[in-house]
Amino acid sequence: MLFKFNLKRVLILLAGLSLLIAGLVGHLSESHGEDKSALYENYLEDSFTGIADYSLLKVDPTNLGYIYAVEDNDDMLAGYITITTGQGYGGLLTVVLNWSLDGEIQSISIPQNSDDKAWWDQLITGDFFDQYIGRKFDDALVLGADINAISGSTISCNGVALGVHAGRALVAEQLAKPYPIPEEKIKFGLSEALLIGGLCTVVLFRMLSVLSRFRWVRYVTLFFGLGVLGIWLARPLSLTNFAVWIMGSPPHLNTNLFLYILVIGVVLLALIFGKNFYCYWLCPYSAVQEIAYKLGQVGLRPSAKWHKRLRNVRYFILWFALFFTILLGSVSITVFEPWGTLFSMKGSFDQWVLLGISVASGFFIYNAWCFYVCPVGAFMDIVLIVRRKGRDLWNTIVHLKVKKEVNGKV
Amino acid sequence: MEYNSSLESEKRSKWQGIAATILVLISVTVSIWVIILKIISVSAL
Repeated sequence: MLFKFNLKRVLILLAGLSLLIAGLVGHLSESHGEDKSALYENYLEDSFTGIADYSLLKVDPTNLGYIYAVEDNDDMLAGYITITTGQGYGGLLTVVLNWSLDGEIQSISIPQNSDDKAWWDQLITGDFFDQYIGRKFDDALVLGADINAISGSTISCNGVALGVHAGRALVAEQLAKPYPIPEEKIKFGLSEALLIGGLCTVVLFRMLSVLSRFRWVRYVTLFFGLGVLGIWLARPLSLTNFAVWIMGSPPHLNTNLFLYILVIGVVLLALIFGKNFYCYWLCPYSAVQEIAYKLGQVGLRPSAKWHKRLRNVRYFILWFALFFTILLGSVSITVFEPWGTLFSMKGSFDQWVLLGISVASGFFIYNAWCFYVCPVGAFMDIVLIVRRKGRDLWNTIVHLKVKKEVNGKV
Repeated sequence: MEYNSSLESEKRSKWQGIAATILVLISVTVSIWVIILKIISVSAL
């Protein structure tokens, strides 16, 4: 028999193929922004009642921005409406702004976003949108200075701010008046410096044989991760951080340098050194699991056979979340891990239930979430497997080449 | 006596293994339930 049936390989092949098909179906069902006017006109009707008529003035293809002229019942020009997009936490969000004739924001609505509802609701309850009402197109509108961001939902706030800036650019052009263009600087602050410091420390601890034999060094970095990535920043590495790249909508670099360092740093270090420097070393939720286990002291663990089986469940969860994310084109599906709820103290009922169960499991089983459920761990394991396979393939090619050269000489 | 105690410990570890497996399966089921609720909410948009 030429091919031996290998269930593992068949499942990997099917998983890969299904993700490709999901991507293809998702791609075909999207409108891809070539002409969003039909969709946007629905937004106009849904968002603003009392509009007698409107006409499309301009489409800006660079940021999918549309500007409409609004007419009142007497067929007189009453104002403008801009529909633009900004990069939120879970992908693009749509910002609809109603402007007066002299360029003052009358109303703002977000008919579409992919951010997690629990975090998004903070923008509504925190009156974030109201801050834009009455502002003029030539106001600075700088987030953090003129407009207060909502703590814990800053990436969503930034997405809205980007959409507003794109809208005001269209209005300024329409009114043929300049506006202050905010300086686009890459923000490098204390959080980014601490993250780099944390990653470097883990690399040192694990690579220096003098230190790697001590158990306590892992607790140092784990509690650093808990304090900085968890309690202070509430930004642990999440499946969403990988999914936005897979979906082709990475975060805005200038305002999200932290996420770039976290995602690219962890993946790159794994590819270079062949080790996962995040899981069990820097992950704040791993620290929570360690604390829970120390408090519980129960020490349950599945049998060796079941341990091996259950470890593979992580890959199923990873596939399941990614498949529907790609198919439906919404990254918010990947925002389900319990740490988002724990460190932000925001979440829906089901997310709180998951947090409760995963922490409770941690009392009985050592690192229960990390070992058996975590999709981030599964993703990192795949990165390491790809690295190993790639290296093996490279070695085989080099070996064959050398063999060919030797044979040629002989 | 020795035989009995080793049998008992084997029995205990078996039940502990089953309890641990059930706990993990509950976590997995709830995780999938949370993802499904997200899929439903996204599909409803």
